[in-house]
Amino acid sequence: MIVFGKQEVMVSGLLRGYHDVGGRPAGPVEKTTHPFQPWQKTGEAMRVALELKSRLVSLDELRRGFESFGAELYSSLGFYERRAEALTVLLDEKGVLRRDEIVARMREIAAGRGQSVDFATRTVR
Amino acid sequence: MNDRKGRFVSHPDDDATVIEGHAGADYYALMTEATRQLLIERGLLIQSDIDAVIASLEAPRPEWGAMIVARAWRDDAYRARLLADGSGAAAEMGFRIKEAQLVVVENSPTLHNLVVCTLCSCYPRSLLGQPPWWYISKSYRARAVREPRRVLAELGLVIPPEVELRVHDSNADMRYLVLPMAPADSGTLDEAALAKLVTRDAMIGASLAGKDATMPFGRSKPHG
Repeated sequence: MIVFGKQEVMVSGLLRGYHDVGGRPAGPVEKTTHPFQPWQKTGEAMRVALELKSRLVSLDELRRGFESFGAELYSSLGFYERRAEALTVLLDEKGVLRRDEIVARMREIAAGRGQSVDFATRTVR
Repeated sequence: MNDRKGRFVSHPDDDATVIEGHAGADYYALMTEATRQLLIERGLLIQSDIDAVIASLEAPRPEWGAMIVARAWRDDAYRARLLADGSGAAAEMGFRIKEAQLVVVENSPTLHNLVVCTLCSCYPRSLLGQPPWWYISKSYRARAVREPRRVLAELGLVIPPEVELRVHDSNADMRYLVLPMAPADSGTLDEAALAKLVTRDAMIGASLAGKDATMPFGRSKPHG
């Protein structure tokens, strides 16, 4: 039994991960399209490049990252946002880049643009 | 949600579990930029490493898959090889499927195939490029295996009740490509013209091949 939001989910005695959404009820499938944003391409490309160059972060590891960072975060993030968060988690875990270094750099870049970052709500203004 | 015996039961909170969130994109764009700068400063990547991967992400497109489908429509021997070994048959035409085994499933007047990835977003990206947004949405991932006919109807494709509908759940080792039926009026077209009738969605099973998506079910199978 696992707690998924307010739910406890059990499937035939097996634990069901929160990413295992197959068969759950959901709203209509929206056929809207969104462009593949430059930051999304860069995020995907960094992960692949790190794997090709030094086998630093595999796709399976990235999946393990967002499939274990918590149901609340998983359900509140979009597809590429989830992957960006998981990459930060993995780089921190492996001691490649610490999260506080990434956070500090985010502040710096935002300040240079006259913006600030609210890390609690994950927003930039 | 499911009860103790694995049976499906509705739950008032279920909807909340599969809403796709897009808030915070600016935050993650900023995080990505910070990470990129730091990785380059530490010498773990150079910009050209990233640019090369972006180019390889941008190159594949549905037209590549359409060329394979058109060849299969015109060449029965190729079609047989494609169904037996998707990756091998794709390689014959110069397309290297890098991420996993390519499995090709064939539609017929009595069978329609639909592809989903319930766990994540597995898709033959190295052939077709990025999947459509709805394919990676939690609504599609959740519902395609539970009520595929209803989902397809929402996407504009009505599968008659007498046609069997098979849903294929992709995983890290298997990527699926649907071989749609050739449109009824395509008999005299050459491969290049045929390929233009094959859309990305038709190769996922979310639509039919051809400009006019009228239902070809019930007519005779194009390849006997």
